[in-house]
Amino acid sequence: MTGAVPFCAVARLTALEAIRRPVFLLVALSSIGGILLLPLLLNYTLGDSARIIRDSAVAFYFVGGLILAAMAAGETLTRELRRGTAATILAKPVSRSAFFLAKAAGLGAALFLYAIAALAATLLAVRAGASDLQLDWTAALPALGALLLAPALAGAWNHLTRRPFTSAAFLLLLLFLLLALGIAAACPTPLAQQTFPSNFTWSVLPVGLLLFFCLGMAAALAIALATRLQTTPVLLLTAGCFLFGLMADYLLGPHLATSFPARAAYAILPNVQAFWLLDALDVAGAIPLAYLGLAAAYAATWSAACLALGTLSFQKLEISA
Amino acid sequence: MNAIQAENLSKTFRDFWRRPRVEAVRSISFAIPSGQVFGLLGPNGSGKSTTIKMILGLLFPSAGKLEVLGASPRSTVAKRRIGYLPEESYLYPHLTPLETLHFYARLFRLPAADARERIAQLLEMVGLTHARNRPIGEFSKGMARRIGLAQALLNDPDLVILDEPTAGLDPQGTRQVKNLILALAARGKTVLLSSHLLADVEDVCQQVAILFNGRILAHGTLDSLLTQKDKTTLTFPTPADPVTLRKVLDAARAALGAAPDLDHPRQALEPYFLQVIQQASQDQSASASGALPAAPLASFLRE
Repeated sequence: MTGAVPFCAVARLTALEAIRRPVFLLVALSSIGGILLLPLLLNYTLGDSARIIRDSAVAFYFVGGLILAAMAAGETLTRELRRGTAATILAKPVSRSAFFLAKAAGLGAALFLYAIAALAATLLAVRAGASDLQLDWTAALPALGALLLAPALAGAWNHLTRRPFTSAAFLLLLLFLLLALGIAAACPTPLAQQTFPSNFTWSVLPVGLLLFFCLGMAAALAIALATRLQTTPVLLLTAGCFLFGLMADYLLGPHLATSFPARAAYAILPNVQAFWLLDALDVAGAIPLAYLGLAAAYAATWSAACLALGTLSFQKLEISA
Repeated sequence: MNAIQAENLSKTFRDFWRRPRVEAVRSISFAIPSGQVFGLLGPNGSGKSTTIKMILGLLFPSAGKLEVLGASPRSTVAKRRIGYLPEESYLYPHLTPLETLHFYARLFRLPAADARERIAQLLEMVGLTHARNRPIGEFSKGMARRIGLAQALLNDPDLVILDEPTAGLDPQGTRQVKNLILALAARGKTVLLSSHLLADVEDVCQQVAILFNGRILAHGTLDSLLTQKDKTTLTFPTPADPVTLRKVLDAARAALGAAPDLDHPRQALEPYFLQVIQQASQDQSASASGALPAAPLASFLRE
């Protein structure tokens, strides 16, 4: 039980470090800003804009999350090793496995915060652009206000207290987006006059949850690779692995019956197709709970395998910084 | 009992293909008895830091045996009793001293009340109470070093490993570190001090080992290594009458068969500097943005 205290301390610091990186804020702001601007860019111009906004918003969320997962996971370990803070911590009564797994947990927490913010933005964007005829300003206005107000207030906070701008901006953005969600929930939609809970497209949430599992897998792979490689190779290898995972059905599918290497590669590569269910959502209307459970189990097993290999590799790593 | 025992310890760094690249430490053996201040001396690249990192379990010996506080260097149980100040101040730049020390206190599983008390005392001791809420990234090297020292002492360690502890410190800070080492030794703690500042080592260490090119060239107590047994120094107040001095010299020449060297002893620069600064800080009570003059040792380190 006492081992939980250092574990939580390292995990908490890792999450803080991740969201204090300027690149984290840059990617999160670009992704969430892109999501929130979609209704303004796509509404009035195209038929079926609600579906396009939904699909584009989820794509923004996933791509942003994938960049963050690979980059932050790679950096969180390599930076600690390079800067020497890992040596200082490991000279204390913290085992290497606890340190490595706490880093992974902290990173998962930072990604979870990003996922909450991006999914709140997605719900608001889909609500704002639900009608081809009229923009829903009760969702668009608070959402855009959150996007502008968070960096402005974080700047003022930084000026007054000298506390880090980036983490304050990100956490304020998250808070304001949740507030915006609350404001929009209290208002009915302009045309259909739908009230809470039917004034939001909640089916986006299970899709977002599935993609969060996928982001967790990417982070687990990246942090395991970071025990031996620098940030750039980690980023490239993680992106490559998930790209092949996305195309595995097309590239390896025809050879599965005849080729053992194809079967092995198919089993090892992350099956990203299993987590991208927007098209299936259009057909089936909802994602069954059992499927969510199976996908979670697959992601957890795949991530655990990566983390186990990462722990093994980190145990043997010589820390010379 | 020995706090650290190394037998034929070697460390060879290898390249990607596992070919030997650098032999940093070559079959060294030494023992540091508990309660001693031990100095590891040597020029840059002599193997001091590699040896310390093996003691801390950060690097793995290529050959030989190493025991720290009776356990493997990787034992987390032993590490609860170790305090380590690294060569560079490896700290999180966005954290304040208060946050940094609370973070390390959690790694040692210190109860919250104890941690608060110790942190307050340590910040007072290193003269940074006034800067406790400023991010460490804004600190000078010396101020960051003081925080590094505070984190090394948080757990009231039985074995303190200090790698170049006075690097970047002003003379007051240097004196404070030396007083601290002596105070720790007086309480029966073991201190391993690595430095290439010979005067610092000479002031505080009982035993030293001199490393060069990964090998121990000399090892023993300072008295056994430095005392020139064939010479004697005699110090006495300067006589008011020059004739008295001449009589003393004549007597010495007659007795020894040769004239002794005659000189006035000089005060060392460090105590003189500290005296001047102490006087100045008593005269001026102006607020300071840097580290304040040395405060007494934290009370939990004196008990």
